[in-house]
Amino acid sequence: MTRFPGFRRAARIPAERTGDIAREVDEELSFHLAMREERLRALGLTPAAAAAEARRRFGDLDAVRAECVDSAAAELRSLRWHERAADVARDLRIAFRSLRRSPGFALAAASLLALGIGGTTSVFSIVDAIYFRPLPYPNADRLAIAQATFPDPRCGGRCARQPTMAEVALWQRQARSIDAVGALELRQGEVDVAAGSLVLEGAAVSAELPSMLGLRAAVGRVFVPADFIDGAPDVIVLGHAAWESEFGGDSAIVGQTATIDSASYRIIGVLAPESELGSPLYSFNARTAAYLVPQERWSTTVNQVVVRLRPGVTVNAAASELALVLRATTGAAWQAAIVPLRDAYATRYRGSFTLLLAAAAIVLALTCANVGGLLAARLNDRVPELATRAVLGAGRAQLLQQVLTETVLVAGAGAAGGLLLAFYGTRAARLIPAERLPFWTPIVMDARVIVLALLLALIGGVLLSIAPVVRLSPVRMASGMRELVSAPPRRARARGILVGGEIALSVVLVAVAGALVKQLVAAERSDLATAKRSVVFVALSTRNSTTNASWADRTIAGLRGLPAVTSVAVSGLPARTAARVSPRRDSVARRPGALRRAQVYVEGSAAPVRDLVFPIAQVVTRDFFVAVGTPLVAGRAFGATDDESAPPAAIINADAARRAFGSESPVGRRIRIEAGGTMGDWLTIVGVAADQRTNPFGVSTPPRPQLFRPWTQMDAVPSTIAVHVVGDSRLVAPVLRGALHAIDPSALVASISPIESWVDAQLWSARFTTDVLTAFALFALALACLGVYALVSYLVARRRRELAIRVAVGATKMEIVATVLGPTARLVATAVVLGAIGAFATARLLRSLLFGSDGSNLTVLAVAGSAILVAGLAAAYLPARRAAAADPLSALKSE
Amino acid sequence: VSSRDFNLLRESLDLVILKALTGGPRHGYAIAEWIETATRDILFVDEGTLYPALHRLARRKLVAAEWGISENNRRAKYYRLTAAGRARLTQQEPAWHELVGALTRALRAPIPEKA
Repeated sequence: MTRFPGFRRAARIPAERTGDIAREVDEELSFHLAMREERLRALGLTPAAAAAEARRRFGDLDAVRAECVDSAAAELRSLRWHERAADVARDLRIAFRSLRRSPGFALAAASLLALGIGGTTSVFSIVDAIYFRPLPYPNADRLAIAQATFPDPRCGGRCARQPTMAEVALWQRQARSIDAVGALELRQGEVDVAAGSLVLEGAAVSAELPSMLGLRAAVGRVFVPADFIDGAPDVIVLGHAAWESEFGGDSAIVGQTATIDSASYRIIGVLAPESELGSPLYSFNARTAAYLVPQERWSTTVNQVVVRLRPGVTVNAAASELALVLRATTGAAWQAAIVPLRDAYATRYRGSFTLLLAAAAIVLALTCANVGGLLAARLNDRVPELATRAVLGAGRAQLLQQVLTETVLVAGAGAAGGLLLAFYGTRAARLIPAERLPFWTPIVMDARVIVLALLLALIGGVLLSIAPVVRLSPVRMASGMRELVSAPPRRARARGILVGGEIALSVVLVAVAGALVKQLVAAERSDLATAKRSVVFVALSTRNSTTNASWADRTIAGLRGLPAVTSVAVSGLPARTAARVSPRRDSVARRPGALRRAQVYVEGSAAPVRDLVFPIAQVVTRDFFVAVGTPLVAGRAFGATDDESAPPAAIINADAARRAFGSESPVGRRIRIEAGGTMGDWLTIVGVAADQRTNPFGVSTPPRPQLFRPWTQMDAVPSTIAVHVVGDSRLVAPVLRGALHAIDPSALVASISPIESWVDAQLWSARFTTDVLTAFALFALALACLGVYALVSYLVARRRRELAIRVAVGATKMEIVATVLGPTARLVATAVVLGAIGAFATARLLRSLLFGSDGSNLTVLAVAGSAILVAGLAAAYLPARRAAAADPLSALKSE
Repeated sequence: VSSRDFNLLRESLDLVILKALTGGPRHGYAIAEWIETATRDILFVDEGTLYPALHRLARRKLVAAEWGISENNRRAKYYRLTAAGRARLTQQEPAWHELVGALTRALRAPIPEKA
């Protein structure tokens, strides 16, 4: 039996590198071979024969060696893993225990981080989906809308002709910077659907468009080039939304026939939701095209031209080349503009999104500052413990690792909470109705956002905890806590500046949010948002051509009888004009701008009024101004006396009155309109209507001159029925549709849109921005107060001894509170003033970004500033009270 | 040799190695010699296969390895049975006896003629 020799402890340290492992394996194997040779030689073999026989018996030496080395290396790796994991586990255990001892700190820091990260990432997810992420089309960054305008001298260069399909085809052939050109033609057609027949808005698309936009079908197929060949069968692809709402969402519809204006089309497919033609490609009354048909070769009308630029070509270069091509081929002064697809919709989001992202960044910064403050305070509390460990021999690296583990634990909990919040935040964002979004955008928390949140938490946490530990040398820590608690004044001042900055930033945010709230409240109270909330517009199809005066009377009488309806009016185009603009069958290329405008002469003046051209007169029935909720600012409305025998009457709007008559009253004055070289009759102005506001915020769109004529004096083609209703205007659409059908089965309704939905669409984005910003502002305010609270607590701790002495020599509680609060009040007040200045500067900036701020933010600023002042002082008061209530003896004894 | 045969062989080798170490720590060559004697040189095709088996057992913590000095004063790697290794041996041994017995009986059993 072999005596067991003593182990060499040194050999227990595992070999660090594979080289050592290989050497050990070699040593072990060669020992075996040597022993075997020795035994064989003892049996009488020659050394050479013994060596050969030992090798033979051993087998494949190289394979055995390789396997042993691999196995040993794997073992070593797993060993290291175990050790490291054990280390981390120990640090985590310690960190958990230490955090459990101060749950307030852990909870506060983690929830602050969670709120900051959650809010920021939610907002970023939404902004990202709508604003940053590429549009859902292939090569979306190279797609652009091309606009070619031909200034028409007859309307002072203010109107333009659309290019024809033949002209568009030239662009692709001649402009080298353009890769592909596709065109859209907006169509309106009477479509037989399950419920009867409806006028639906769709588009005819050119052959290139399906592939340029990468259109995909949810059911069936989209167009292929063969569908565009002359003589190919008539086919139609339904829009996804229209398929669901009007065609029952049944897949079996593919292969059936759709009838548009009595022509039959075979339904070949339904667009996938992300392929729907919506903003920014398609603009019509409906949000998305209800159907697509292949554009005919001979078609001359083009409403929207989409181009794909060659890679690397800038928008400007393409626009100038296009302008050259246009001039060379047409010889006229065409102007070309190319707008990137993104810009075609993104500009209207830019203001609010910049604001939201800036607010999110500020909130995140405030969060980090506060969590940093909490960590620093906590480190101060732990100095005795850390000092003890340092004395016991823990190196700085070990202490750092311990503190880091704790920070990372808190930051990790914060990040996890933040992600959870962001998850629910983005889920909530999915409730944003589809019609509020510019195109099909899934709002998801994507990987970038998650990574961003984790990085923020980790980097923030690591930096925040390294900084104080590095400052504390073990020696200084060992020298005790006193030095740290009575830290140099420089650090206290730095914390003061930090907290001051927090307050100033939160003042800016609160003031901006306040201004937005004020504006939103004003917009919601505006006449457009309140009075017109009860107005429903029934847009009639352009293919109604009745000029029968009794039609309007019958319609009005019929609709007035409905229970919810209070007044009804019909508005239309003068019959002569209507006949002239009467469009090609089913085309709606009717653009008011393309019509000749008219010069206006005021009686008693030979020259036309400068700076006043009327669009086509609106012919309206008596109750029109009541029904649409536009008040008259002077004179009277049209009445029964304005009949064919009376002198021709007119009502103009305030804008036109200002242009033609300045400050004089236009009522009773006469004007005459020259159009197309013929002078019209004298029109007596009987009233002045308020300018119709098209925007509840009232500032973005300037008013335009308007001219109204009475229905009783002019033949007109009805275009719109305005209905004033009581109650929820969104519910009356089906009632109105039914009633109209009963009155005149041949009347075709294009759309029934309560102004409410339209006003809401405008208010919605303002409300969204305001809500989110208000939440951010309140959070920032809370953070700033927390910062003040922490700062004052810290100052009180530093001055504990001094305060105790003051109490000991007879200072009253009030005096102690005042001593503590004095400097804090100065700090908060200074910060509020600085923040107010910042807010004022921001407000000026915002005016260009937002829906138009009225600039009178002073009240908002005053309210926000004093609120923060009060909140800050309240936050400071608590620790000051505690300091005053403390027992001076114990405070002095403790040092 | 199919993988199943190999496993059976490997399992049996592992078991024999554990048994070899019940007498106390031994280096690889001593284990090899004992196995040769004990199995009458049947178990090994090649002596070298012992070492990967030893390393495998070491990784599974059934044996522990330490460097020591051999009887002829050379540095040698000694293996000893760990508690886990001993437990495994006591647990596996009866199972092996049963298995081997069953195999033997099965191979010796008469096959009835087809009716």
